[in-house]
Amino acid sequence: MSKEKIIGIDLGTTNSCVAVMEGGDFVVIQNSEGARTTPSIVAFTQKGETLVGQFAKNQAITNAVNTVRSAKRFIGRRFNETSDEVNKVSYKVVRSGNDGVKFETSAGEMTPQEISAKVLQKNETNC
Amino acid sequence: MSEQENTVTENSANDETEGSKVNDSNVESSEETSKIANLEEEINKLKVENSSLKDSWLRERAEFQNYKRRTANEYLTIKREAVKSFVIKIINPLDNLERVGMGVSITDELKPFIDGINMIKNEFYSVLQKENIQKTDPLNKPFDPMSMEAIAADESENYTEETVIEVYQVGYEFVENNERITLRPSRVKVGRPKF
Repeated sequence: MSKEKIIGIDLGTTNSCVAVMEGGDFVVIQNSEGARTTPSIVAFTQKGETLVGQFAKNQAITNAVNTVRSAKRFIGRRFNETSDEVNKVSYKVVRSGNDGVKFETSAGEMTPQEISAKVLQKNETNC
Repeated sequence: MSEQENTVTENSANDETEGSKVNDSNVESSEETSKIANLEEEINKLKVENSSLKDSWLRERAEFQNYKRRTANEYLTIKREAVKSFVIKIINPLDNLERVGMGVSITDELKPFIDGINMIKNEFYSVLQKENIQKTDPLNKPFDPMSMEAIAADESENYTEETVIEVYQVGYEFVENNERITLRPSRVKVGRPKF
């Protein structure tokens, strides 16, 4: 039997939020920490863990180079269009093939879409 | 009329009766056939309707099971969130009670006052403990982003791993069925190894 659901996603630059249609009404889904919004932050720790949301935010100061926030600003943009943003972020932004954008982290190079997917994945698991 | 003619007339009358009987039975059988066809059509229609209703019932049942599961989870979350929001409000005055006597020399005159404050403070803590709420003590422990929030960092060769070297604000956790849920993360300074 199919498990089709109607969900609405607000993938924000700073925070993200997911709602699901239930009996004709939408219900905002709480994340595992009990919050209705999740910080759009992904971190890669020295231990090889990937932290998403509030936990990534909690350790941001100790691991700024591997903590990616505001990834949405880079989606759909060429590297030469992002010089303003590149200077504002704590992580390393590099040019990828076809003048695209990638983030250099301890877990390897990640595209902005991959980072956003991790934020969505965390929200999706709560649905 | 001769006898022979009578027999012929009788025979033809018999033939007519049999013919009408055959016609009647033909009509009946065609009626029955069309009735059966109608009934079969209806059965097929009902079968389709039945399978669609069964499918929709199964979907509804699955949705209801999901709803039940989610409601049970939501009940626990709501309870936890209610405790959390209440405790967070209580914790700030408790933090302020902790600050009483800090930075002043405790004279003989001041000591009974400080002792009284400590008694009130301990009473608060015992109430929280009864509700399975505990203070965390992260000093000199490895930094854990799940229960701590790094406010500052210090990089040095003295550290082998990320360690809490100063606690700015203690955290609280809710212990339920051996599961620890952070109500408020401790705000800490982290010592980081130099790479």
